[in-house]
Parts: sequence; structure tokens; C-alpha cells
Amino acid sequence: MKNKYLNPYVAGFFIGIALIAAYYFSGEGLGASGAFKRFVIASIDAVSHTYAQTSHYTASVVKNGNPLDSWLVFELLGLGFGAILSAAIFGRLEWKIGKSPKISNKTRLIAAVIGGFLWGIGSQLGRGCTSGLIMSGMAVNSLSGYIGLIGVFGGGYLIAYFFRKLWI
Amino acid sequence: MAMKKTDLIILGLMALGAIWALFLPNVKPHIRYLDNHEILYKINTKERYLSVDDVAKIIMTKNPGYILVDVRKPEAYKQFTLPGSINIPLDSLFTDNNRKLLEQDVYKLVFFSNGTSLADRAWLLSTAAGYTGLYVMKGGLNAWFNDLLMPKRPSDIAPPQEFDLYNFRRGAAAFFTGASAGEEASPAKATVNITVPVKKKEVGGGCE
Amino acid sequence: MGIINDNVNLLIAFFIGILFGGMLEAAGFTNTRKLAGVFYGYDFTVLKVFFTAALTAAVGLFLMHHYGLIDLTQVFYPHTYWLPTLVGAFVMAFGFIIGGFCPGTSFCGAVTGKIDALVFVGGVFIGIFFYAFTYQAVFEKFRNSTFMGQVNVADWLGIREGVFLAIMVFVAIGSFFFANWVQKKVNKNKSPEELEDLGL
Repeated sequence: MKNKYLNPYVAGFFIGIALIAAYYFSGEGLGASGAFKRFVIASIDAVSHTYAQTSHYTASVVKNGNPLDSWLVFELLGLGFGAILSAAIFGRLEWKIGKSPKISNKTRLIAAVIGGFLWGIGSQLGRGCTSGLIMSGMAVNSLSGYIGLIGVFGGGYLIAYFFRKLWI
Repeated sequence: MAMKKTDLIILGLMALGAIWALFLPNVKPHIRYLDNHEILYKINTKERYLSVDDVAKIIMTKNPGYILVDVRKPEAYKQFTLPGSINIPLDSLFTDNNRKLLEQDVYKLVFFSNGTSLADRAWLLSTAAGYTGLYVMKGGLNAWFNDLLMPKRPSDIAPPQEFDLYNFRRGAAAFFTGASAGEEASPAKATVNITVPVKKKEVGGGCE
Repeated sequence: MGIINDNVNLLIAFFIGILFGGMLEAAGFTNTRKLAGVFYGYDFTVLKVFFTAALTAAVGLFLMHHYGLIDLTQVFYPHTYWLPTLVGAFVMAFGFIIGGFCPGTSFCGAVTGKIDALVFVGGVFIGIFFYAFTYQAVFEKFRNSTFMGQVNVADWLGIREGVFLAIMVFVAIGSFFFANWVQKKVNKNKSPEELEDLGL
């Protein structure tokens, strides 16, 4: 069955519209890692509120009330909903492990955890991920967005060769 | 993989938007943040200082190129301030309205306070943020009173310049206190309208 | 713009998220091989979607600001801490090449059944937890270093924003044509099955 995807420019255009809408209606850009961060902080807070109030990482978020009561969290929920809708329309709603046929499922899954872990650290250090740091940053011509762009994509190109076995 | 018609439409839109944007002004005016060396240099050269005599001349000749900015709290400003000055307390220095004053380059701003340090702080913050055309009245209002309004007669063996300065100050004192019937700086006097930053033709005239 | 009721704000966030997620999935970003393709030359969808999105928004917002539809001086503007951002970005690059996702796309993948995406999401949480507990001792000082203020890249380069945007858009468009050329070459000798497997 042939893969059917939306024209990338059209998709990009509408994501751009979403980004504009985000800034227009809510004064902030899109993001994903920020929502993940709040889930983590919410769980830490649930286990020990006092710890959450004193630890530097969590304190500034918990003092403003419920960490989950945030624009980014609701945006992420919408993200999932939209993805499900699209996958249903295109017939891509299925359990699957996406990987190169040249590696095993186990390899892929281990790589996925490691990759996720690195994004966890990197996105916190860098103050965002591709959507929050780079795309939203570029939308307002922020230097940080472009630093992120060069770091992620430039860095990716630099090391891609060494991990090619995972993909091709 | 060639470009389809839809692709070209979207890219065309972006290109159009970009060309349109090309001719538009910046969102914020260009702000250049000074690095530590530049700030230190500017602090050390003391180019920013105007003496109370300089400021007196500005007021007396109604020099239109300067705006005097009292950076003390409003209560102090209402009690006494320099004639024609406006009040921007230090903590309101970077509000949107006041930033417009810092951004414009038609008028030079002279910060003053009771002594020198508060005005110096206003100068430092604004200069570090990249604004230019900023000055500080050295000695502040204390010097205004002690040196200008109550000048000390130089000793008989002092050089002629000191006598010139003394006479100037006596004249200034008369100007300011003699004309001071009702001269408790009324704040209402000093609302400067900066909406049209067009260089006034008179500025080059100076004292003539 | 103006002040919007908090709950309405969150609802708007949800709907904007739907548009964003829908477009990501529709473009194929739940497929890691498709995502990684930009680094290996066989699929430049990431490049096209990403730049089109970022620059459409940048040009759009810039024009809107000029015509008074939005006040860009009032929106959230990122603070630039250049070194931790650069280092963080490199770490994220490793995460991308090894894991094949970024947090947003992995979430989309996870909810649509991609098990590797689900595992990736787990990894992100583990990473953030790890960071949270080591933050004060290890990362805090570094993360707050090299603060430059809210720096605008056009200002920093010393050119007008409009000029910068125009240059970026034309560079991006040029890169799209170049990408098409590269992609054609890289995939020249691939069989239809291979191509389909790659996500093309």
C-alpha cells in the first residue's frame, strides 16, 4: 500500500498558521517539552509538595498553582487528539514499531529510550525542543531559536554518519 | 521529485510575504547591548558629566536640545526641582512611555538627583541597554544649591577664570532665585510631547 | 488579542494543538524513518515542513504587527542564553539521530500506536526526572549562564528584520529545490519496496 501523506508545504503552512494563532490568542508560541516538564513536576508535587516547593527546578512552577493548568499541557492534549484524527483518516492507526529492516526490534526500542532520555535532558538545558525552542523562536526572530536550529540540525548532520546503521 | 502546483503556490505566497516584509521597519528599534568593556570605558571617561553651571546655562538660554530628567521619587520632585524638568523615578525608567523618551535621538537627556549616585545609576542602566545621548548633572541638586545658588567668593589671588565662574554663578543665582516668585517647580509645567521626533530647525541656533 | 478568559485560553490551546498534531501526523511525522531522512538525504519532508512553518509564522507575525493586528512587544519573547541552548541543542541532536523523534512527534506517534514512539516518550520522562533531581547540583549554574537578554537575531546581525526575513525565505526556498535534487539522486536506484519502507 502506497504511503499517503499531506503535501509538506501545505502541512508546514498550516502549522505556521497554528503558530501564529498561538501567539495571537495566547501571547506564547507552540511547544511540547514544556508540557512533558509539567507532567514531571506535577508527579513530583503529588508525591511531596514540600520537596516541590523547595527544589529549584520545580519551585517556580508549583508556586503558580497546579502545574497541569497550563496552555502547553492543553496544547499537547490537542496534539494527541489531532494526530489520532489524522491517522484515522489516513489509515495509519495501528500498533507498529517504526524501524529500519536492518535492525532488530530490540535495538530500535533501546535506541528510542536513549534518544528520549537525551531529549529530556537537552530540552531542559536548551529551554525547549524543536517546536518550543526553534520553531517558536524563529517565528519571532529570536536568536535563541536560531542557535537551537544550528545546534539541532547542524549537530544532527555532524553525527548522522556514525549512526547510519540505525536508519539505512 | 519536482515541485507541484500546490507547492509553488505556497512558496509563492511566502516569497510575496517576504518581499513585502523587506520594506517594513523593525518591530523594536535597534537596541545594542553594550559589553562589559564598553560600559567600563564609558564609566571611566566621565564624558557623561555636565556641571551645574552647564545645566544652568541650558536653562537660562532655553536650550531646546536638552531635557532635564529628575530621577527622584515624585514627592521630592513636587517639593523642589529644576525649572522645566520632568520626573521619571528610577524604577519607572523602562516603562513603555519612558522608553520612548530614551529611544528618541532629538533631545539629549540630563539625569539629576540630590547627589550624583541616583542619576548615575539611571545613566548606567540606560547606557548599558544601548541608549545614547544621556548625561548626568554632577553633584546634583546639592551642588546646585551649594555651588551655584550660593557661590563662594574666590580669594583675591585666585586666577581670573574663578572670578568669571563666580560672577556667572551670581548671575545665575539671581536668575533662578530672583525669578523664583512662584517658582516651586510645578510638575504640570514639564510635559514634553515626544510623538514627533523631527529634528527642530532651531537646535543649531545655540545661544544666538 | 487582548485579555482572554483563562478557560477559553486553554480551550483555544487545545484546538490549536489539534491543528498542529493533525498536520504533523498528516505529513508523516509519526514515522521515524521519514523523520530521520533529512539527515541521510532520502527524505526532506522535515526540512520542508519545518522551514515553511517557522517562516510562514515569522513573516505572518511580522506583517500582522506592522498592520496593528498584534503587538509583538507584548508577547512572550525568548531570553537568549546562548551556551546552554547550544549545548542542549547538540544533546537534542544526538537524541534525534539515535531516537528518531522529538518530544512533539513522539507524542503523536505514541497515541497513534507506534510502540517505538511510546518507548521514546518514556525515555523523555526518565530524562526529565533525572534532570529534575540533578538540577540544583549539576545543571543549574550552567543553564543560567551566558545570558544575553531578549536578543533579536536581525538586531544581533545588524540588519533590518525585514531584510533578514526576506533572506531566510529565499534561502529556504532555495534549499527546497536543492533538497529535491539531492533526494532524487539519493533515491535513484532504490526499488519501490525500499522507497515505501523508507516512508516515501
